[in-house]
Amino acid sequence: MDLLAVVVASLVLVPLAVFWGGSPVSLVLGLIFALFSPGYALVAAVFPKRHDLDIVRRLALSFGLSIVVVPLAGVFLNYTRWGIGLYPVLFSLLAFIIVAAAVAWYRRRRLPPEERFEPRFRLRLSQFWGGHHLLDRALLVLLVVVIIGAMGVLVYVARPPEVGQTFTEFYMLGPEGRAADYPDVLGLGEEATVTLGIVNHEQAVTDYHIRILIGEDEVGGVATITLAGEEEWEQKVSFAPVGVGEEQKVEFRLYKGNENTPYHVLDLWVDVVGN
Amino acid sequence: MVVFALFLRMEGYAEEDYYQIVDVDTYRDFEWLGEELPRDSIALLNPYVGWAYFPASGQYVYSARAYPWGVEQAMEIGEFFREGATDTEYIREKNVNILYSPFPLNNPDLVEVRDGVYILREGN
Repeated sequence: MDLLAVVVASLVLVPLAVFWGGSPVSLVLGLIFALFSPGYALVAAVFPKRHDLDIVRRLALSFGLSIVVVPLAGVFLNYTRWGIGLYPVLFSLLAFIIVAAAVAWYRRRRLPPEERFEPRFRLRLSQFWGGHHLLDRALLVLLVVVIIGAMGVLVYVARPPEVGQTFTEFYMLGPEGRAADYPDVLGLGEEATVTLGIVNHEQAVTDYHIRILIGEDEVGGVATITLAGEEEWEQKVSFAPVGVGEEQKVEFRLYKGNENTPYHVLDLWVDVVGN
Repeated sequence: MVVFALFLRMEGYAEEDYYQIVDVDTYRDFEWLGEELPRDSIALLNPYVGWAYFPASGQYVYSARAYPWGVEQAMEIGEFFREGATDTEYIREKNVNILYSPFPLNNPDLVEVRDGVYILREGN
């Protein structure tokens, strides 16, 4: 019955993987298919007798040998004309499981019934637990932890992807529309012009506004700009300095929505001379 | 045995070309620089992202290394940015006019034209 269950589960996976690959059921069956079934069938073929191995060691070996068999199948396929792909891997492992299960069945049939390994699923935990050595119990606990960990990883990997990175581009160009020739030396009250640009990558309609400050003085700005996702905005804006001095920092503050803290700030340094 | 095999192979891996991954907004920054900068611009970047700059922007970069850790020049550039890039003479010596910094800079000789992107002021 155990061999039949392994073969049937593997056969069920094939159409699932082909037509509904990525579905939760195919992921669960695929995990069993790759990490358990080949090893279990191989262990059953090599150790057909009940007393060859106990159930704990059989299960542990099943996982371990599966991890060996699957990459070896990949290495083998790499040197064939089919290469490593979904179908070659799927059918090569399926063939291996069926052949190993057939060998296991044949070897068990040649044994007296009382000597054949036949798993019985009677849940007597206290008897099961008490009847094993400390090392066996530790191995069993470790095995359970590893299986739970693998399931957790599977759930994490299979969950829907998160929303991609969201951000807003905010940039400043010179009067000619290139990243060059920015205002550098201005006369007091002389108007300077730059081009400001915004690109919305927030994946939602977003309101922005811009304030232009020199020190504490607000010398310009742009009122509400509403942009849809991936929409771009570019506009020439002007400002005029209100005081003379070298190395005055002109701040272009971009605000998002109703937030009071600037979302982005660009700095332009100018020297302002008297007229 | 596995550790021994890995140890033997590690040195070989260090010589191989490999990809450098940058995030979406960094890549978009590089694209923008390629579109807006004059063709003869030379950029100084944190070496960690310098390798990706030229293929993404088509612009010249002062230093680009796929694996910058432990390289003296890369460490020098990283230190320059960590100190706020206040040494304008260092920028002139390297003959660069664009800086792409992972840290906010406060150098009056630089114009911040985009988040993290600084251009040397005219006359410098």
